[in-house]
Amino acid sequence: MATIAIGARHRAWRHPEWPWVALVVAAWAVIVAGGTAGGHRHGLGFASWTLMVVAMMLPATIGVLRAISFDSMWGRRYRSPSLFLAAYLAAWAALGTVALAAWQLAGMLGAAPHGAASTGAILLVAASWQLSPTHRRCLKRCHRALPLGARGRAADRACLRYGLFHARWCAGACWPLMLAMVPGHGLALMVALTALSTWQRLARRPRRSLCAGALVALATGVVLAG
Amino acid sequence: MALRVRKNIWDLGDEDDPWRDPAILAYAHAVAAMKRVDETHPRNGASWKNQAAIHERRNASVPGRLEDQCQHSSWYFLPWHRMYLYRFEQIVRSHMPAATAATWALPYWNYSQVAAHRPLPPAFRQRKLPNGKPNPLYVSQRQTSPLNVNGGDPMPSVAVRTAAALAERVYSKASPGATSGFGGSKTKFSHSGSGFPGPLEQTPHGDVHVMVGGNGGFMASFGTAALDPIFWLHHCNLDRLWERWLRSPAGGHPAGKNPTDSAWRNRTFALVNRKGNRVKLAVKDVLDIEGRLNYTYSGLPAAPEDLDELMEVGDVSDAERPAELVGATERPVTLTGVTTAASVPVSPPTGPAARTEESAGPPPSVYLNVENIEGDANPGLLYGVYINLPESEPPDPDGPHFAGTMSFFGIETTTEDDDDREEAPHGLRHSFDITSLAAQLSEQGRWDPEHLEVTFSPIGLEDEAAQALDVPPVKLGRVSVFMQ
Repeated sequence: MATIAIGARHRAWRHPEWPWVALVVAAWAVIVAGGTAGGHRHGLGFASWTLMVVAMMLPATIGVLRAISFDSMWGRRYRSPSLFLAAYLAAWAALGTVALAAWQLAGMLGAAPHGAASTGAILLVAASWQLSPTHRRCLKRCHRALPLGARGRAADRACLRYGLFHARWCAGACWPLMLAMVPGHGLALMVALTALSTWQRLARRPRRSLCAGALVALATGVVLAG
Repeated sequence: MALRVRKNIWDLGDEDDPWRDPAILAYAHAVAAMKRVDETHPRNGASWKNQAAIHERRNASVPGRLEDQCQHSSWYFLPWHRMYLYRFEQIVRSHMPAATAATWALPYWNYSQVAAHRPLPPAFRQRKLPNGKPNPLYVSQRQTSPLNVNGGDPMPSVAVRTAAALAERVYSKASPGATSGFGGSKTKFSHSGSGFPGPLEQTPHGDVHVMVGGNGGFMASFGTAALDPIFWLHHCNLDRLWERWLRSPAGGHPAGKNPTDSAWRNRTFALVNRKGNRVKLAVKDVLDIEGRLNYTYSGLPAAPEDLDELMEVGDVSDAERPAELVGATERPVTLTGVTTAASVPVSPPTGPAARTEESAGPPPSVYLNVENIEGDANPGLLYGVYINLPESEPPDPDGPHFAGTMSFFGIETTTEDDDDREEAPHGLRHSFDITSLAAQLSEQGRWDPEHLEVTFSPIGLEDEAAQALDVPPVKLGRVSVFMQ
């Protein structure tokens, strides 16, 4: 038993990212079990938005969280990435609040077209965004690491700053992909966009024209299925 | 076919007779021929400029050309450069008369063993060939000050030390914070350096690059390094050191071993053959230099009969205990060519490096890290790194406080915002094993377990002289101490 316990402890030493992997798995489990597979035909709530950010954006961020743990003092190996994540999710939540409010306002004014048509239109915007120089710049900055502190408030602040910095460029690259979730979505689309954004972040040379093509194909698929 | 022998360039020519062995002149003529190919076939991968572009392109991308392939801060650093040299050597031979090509092999520049061999080999410093024509091995884009490389000034002795690299026990270590092992850290394809370099990649590799190139010279940056004909002899020496590490004990441990990981062995890279066409090579194809690549090095210990002995058994590269951060600077440090000190508050380890009854063991290893290194241009200086250097003492690379050198080869890629380049830039990271230095300072009463003073001071440059120069700044995001 003792050997198993030591083995587990050593695995946790080498893989301090395990809580974040568990968080992503849990988010997907809730989404699938919550029956969102059929799609939110009436648009997305704030809680669901946050859940989706965790499910869709975090897989590409696990490596960053792992590196933060290793570059933090031992007693801070979970605290530091937690602070980074709090700032990162807060920034996405702010973007979500604005997007959801705009969508509701459009609905009240009767300006929001049928869900599938809106999703298709946003995916086309995403496709053209893929080809812009701003997108490329954002994606590159997503790879940049900021120096961390070692102890005390200075270390906390450094983690929060890094989280906001990362969210800024990550959202700069991926905002249309997340906005495509707002009018309502199917699980298949969510899986496809997660795969696309994760690949884009982790690939050495993300073929952006290929991504744009995939988004056009998805837009067509969504409109036809809708 | 007889085994080709890569020889020490200083055995082929010296100050008295730079061109004594015809192999040097044969290289010069072949370089001239490769340069002529440029003018006729701008996309031919075997031309001089396009060979250099495989390392990293210098100007705008040429569609269809192989570019930006060099592997740095990575465990692919050694095998990729071995492949690059192997194909280059074949291209060079294709420009030689058959009788010369039959035995010709790339020479190596061993700057480490004999002090008189630290200057650039003389044939590379002559403006003219023996026949009076311009020498293709000479380039003016080399350091002129404080070192006059083409004037025969020697490389600083600390830039060519190999002891720290050869003392590494394993090829690749998984733990960030510790040194990365002889060959560098495990990465995917790593052109702009997403991982950590091994000690060999830092010194002598990076240091010799920057000392030859200086501020703005060819050798000092990725995009121009291979335009200097000495590049190939420098890397030939590093390739030799890899083989040397595998074949003989050093630093109190048995000979090194290559990784067995399939991710490393099966990784393929594109290169260019002598016809200028793309070809692929896998890492596992280039591990047996005598059997598969048909070359060896003069002065190398014999290879073991069973080559499997050169492979690690099992994966011993994953250290059981990760390295643990015990202190770091709170603010970035900027180096501008003058002596600069950074203060690092240190706490005792509380995790895997802590020595309690439960986790007893030898005293932990101590590592100094310099993280998130960024800058627009290489300053062309060699910085000495010193631990706990008293203010009253001048920085002395041979003194008891010296930890190592930093020269920032590749720093221009850390801030590159070239829209043409898809790969994202990454800051550099250097790591120094200061375990024995810490023990020595501790014995002398110069080690404070709660505080470390780290001094960066350019070697061979007085502060007053540096102030007069316009030294491109280098930002060190954090200076930190790890224990393992």
